[in-house]
Amino acid sequence: MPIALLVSLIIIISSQVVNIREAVEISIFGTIEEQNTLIELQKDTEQFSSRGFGFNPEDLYYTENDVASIEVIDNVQDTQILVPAPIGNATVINLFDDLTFVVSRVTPLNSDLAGLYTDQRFSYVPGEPIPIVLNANSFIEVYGDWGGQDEITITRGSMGRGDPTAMQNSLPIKSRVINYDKNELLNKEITIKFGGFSEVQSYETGMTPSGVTFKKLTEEEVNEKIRERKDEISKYWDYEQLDVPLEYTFKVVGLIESESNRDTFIPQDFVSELMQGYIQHQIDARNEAEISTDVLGNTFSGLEYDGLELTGGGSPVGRFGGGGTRMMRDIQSASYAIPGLVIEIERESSTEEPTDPWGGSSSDIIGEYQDSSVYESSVQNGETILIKIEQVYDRPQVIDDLNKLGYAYHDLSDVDVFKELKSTLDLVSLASVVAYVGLSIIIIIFTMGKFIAESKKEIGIFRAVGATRNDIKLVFIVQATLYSLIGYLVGAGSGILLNMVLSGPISSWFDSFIGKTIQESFNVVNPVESAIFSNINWEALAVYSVVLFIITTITSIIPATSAANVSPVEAIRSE
Amino acid sequence: MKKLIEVDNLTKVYGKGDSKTVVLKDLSFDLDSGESLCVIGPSGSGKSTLLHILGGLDNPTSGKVSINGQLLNELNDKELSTFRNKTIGFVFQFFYLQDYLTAKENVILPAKIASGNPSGVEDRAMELLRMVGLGHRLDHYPNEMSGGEMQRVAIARALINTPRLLLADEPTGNLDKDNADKVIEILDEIHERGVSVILVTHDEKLGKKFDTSFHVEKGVLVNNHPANQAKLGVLSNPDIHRD
Repeated sequence: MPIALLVSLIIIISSQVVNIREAVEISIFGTIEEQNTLIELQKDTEQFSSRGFGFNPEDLYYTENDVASIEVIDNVQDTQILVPAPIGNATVINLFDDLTFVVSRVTPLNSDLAGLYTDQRFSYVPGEPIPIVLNANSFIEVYGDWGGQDEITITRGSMGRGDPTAMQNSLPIKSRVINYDKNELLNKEITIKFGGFSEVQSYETGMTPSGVTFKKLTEEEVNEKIRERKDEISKYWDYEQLDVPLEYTFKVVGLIESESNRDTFIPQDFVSELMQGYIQHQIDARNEAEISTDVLGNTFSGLEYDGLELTGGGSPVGRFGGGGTRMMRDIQSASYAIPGLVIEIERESSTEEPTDPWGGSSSDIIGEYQDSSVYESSVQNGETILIKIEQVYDRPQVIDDLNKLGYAYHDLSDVDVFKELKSTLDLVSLASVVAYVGLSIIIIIFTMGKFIAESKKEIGIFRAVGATRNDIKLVFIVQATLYSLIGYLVGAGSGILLNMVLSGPISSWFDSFIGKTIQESFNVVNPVESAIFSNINWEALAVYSVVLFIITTITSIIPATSAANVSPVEAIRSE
Repeated sequence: MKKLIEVDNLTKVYGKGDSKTVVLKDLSFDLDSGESLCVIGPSGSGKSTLLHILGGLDNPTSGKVSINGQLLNELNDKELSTFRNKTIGFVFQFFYLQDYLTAKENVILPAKIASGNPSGVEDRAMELLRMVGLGHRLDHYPNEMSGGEMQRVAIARALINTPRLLLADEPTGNLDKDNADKVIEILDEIHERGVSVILVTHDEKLGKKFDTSFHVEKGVLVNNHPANQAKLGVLSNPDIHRD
């Protein structure tokens, strides 16, 4: 019985130790290693401020030249500059019941790199919901909190010193995060609207000697603003037509939960259609009236195109210089952001001394740009490059090569930790099995000893009828080996059966464990097939079998010899 | 005639120093081949120890024991085992059958120890079992038999290798009167066939059935016991103490 139990347990223990080890390798180490195949290079904008005037704008962005340089590094699998689509007013309307929120950075991503954020297909198929990887940093709800007042002033003293939280609490326009359950969001179909006019601001701000004043507008004042806007825009566009946003249905296939990453990813093969539709929508609403450059520069704002790059979008995304100053006018003057409007500009050479006190190059407005394919023909420069490497152990070499090429990157991850963790895990696995074998040896010794001790009378009878000491030894060794063999066969059979029965619960436990740990932290977790837990560690069983029989034979010799040496009279009297 | 058994100044002591126990003290006797001997004594008198020494199961502390002209103390373990297997047949008070063997298998056991799988041994075993009245219980296990039946199986086992000497240690000690009588009857028959029988018992009445009997008390032959006034030269030593 003890032998059967030991053999049964060794099959289960050694097999499941290996199975769980393999599952951990796939799901935990594999996932972490997969994540560490990604390198995110970001432009250090502090270089800009430290250099002051006379900077080269190209220093702020990565270009296709950088991609070409990096792609030839050994073990680099894929490279992409992350360039948010210059599209404004992307509003998600049905992710959280009645709440809506704006997505600030809608960034195209190729399907290969998307594998780091989702395990689902990430390509555009007309007629089907478009896959999207949302960013939890976008889950912000903006609301008004006037505290029953119509006017709030933030004094200069509270702005310049003191508790910023206290100042924030005084503002009438607040924001708060939207709580969510990741599992409820994944695979949900949502609608995102692009374009349309944003709500007219329901308050106005003004600078006073004492500080900044926020004044709530009355309903009439708001309506008046809406009328003004409509009147102004209607001079050149069909207002109602332009107010209708583009709507697309997306399917949430991933969720980014990162403090540093603010992108919401859409398939790269969709963004051209999106931008073309966005711009064409404005062109289609345009009437015959000509817009002067003054009006374009002062009354209306939109995307800017300098013949190379398409920027802007009516949001804080954009370069300082042209769009930046105009953005400030958006806030302070009656300037209207027209969704889909592309303004052609001409920039001064960036090598000349900049005249704009905010840095960068100044620009002149040429006029409207009426080609809806402008996005496809523009260059894509951005502040972030994503680099995917072949495998995590190439990371130190790739980073070293990046630094040699002038792309400063300080690697804070330590891939050697994985090797150490794996070695430790292997050691623990081996130690547990070895400990079990050691325990088995002790149990067998005691079991055999007890077996022999209980056979003293029998030994006495054998000796009394003429058996020699060697006869006694042989009989008991053979008997012990036979019992061990029977126990082994019973144990092996039941162990194999039990291992299969237990594989289901163990698989469920492991899935639950991963769900509560790794899946909470990573977008994509390598899946583990449940069949892995029904594997039998045949090698361990073979080794244990040999060890068991050797140990059984040896441990039966010692007590058998001892028993054979007992005086026959004593043996008989032990009855 | 050559003596079958010659015992000369046999002494057996257990323990040492203050815990020393003298079980047998300077015991001497002899027995002719074919004769029967009954050793009578109370419990703890040393009679079983005497039988064990005669059967080669135990060693004397001093003195000589010769069976069929062979000094037992000159034999090594293997030779002693062979002696027990072929020359001696042992019958114990508590039968000492192997529980997992049938009656026939128990009887065959000494023969198998002697020579593996000897031919004809099964027939002989069946004959012996029939002789002791158990021809119908060949394939029964000890737990299916009465005490008397088990003892008869033990007697058959003792005879399988045609020993010259049968040693019986209180063979009727655990039996009722009827079974005890049957066993004694069988032993008597065996003796009639020429096997020397030495039986130890506390039962005085049994001594009358044997050629010779003597009494033992506290490890020595009781010199002044009327039953010991026999033609066998016996020695006695009144200075015995069991510590």
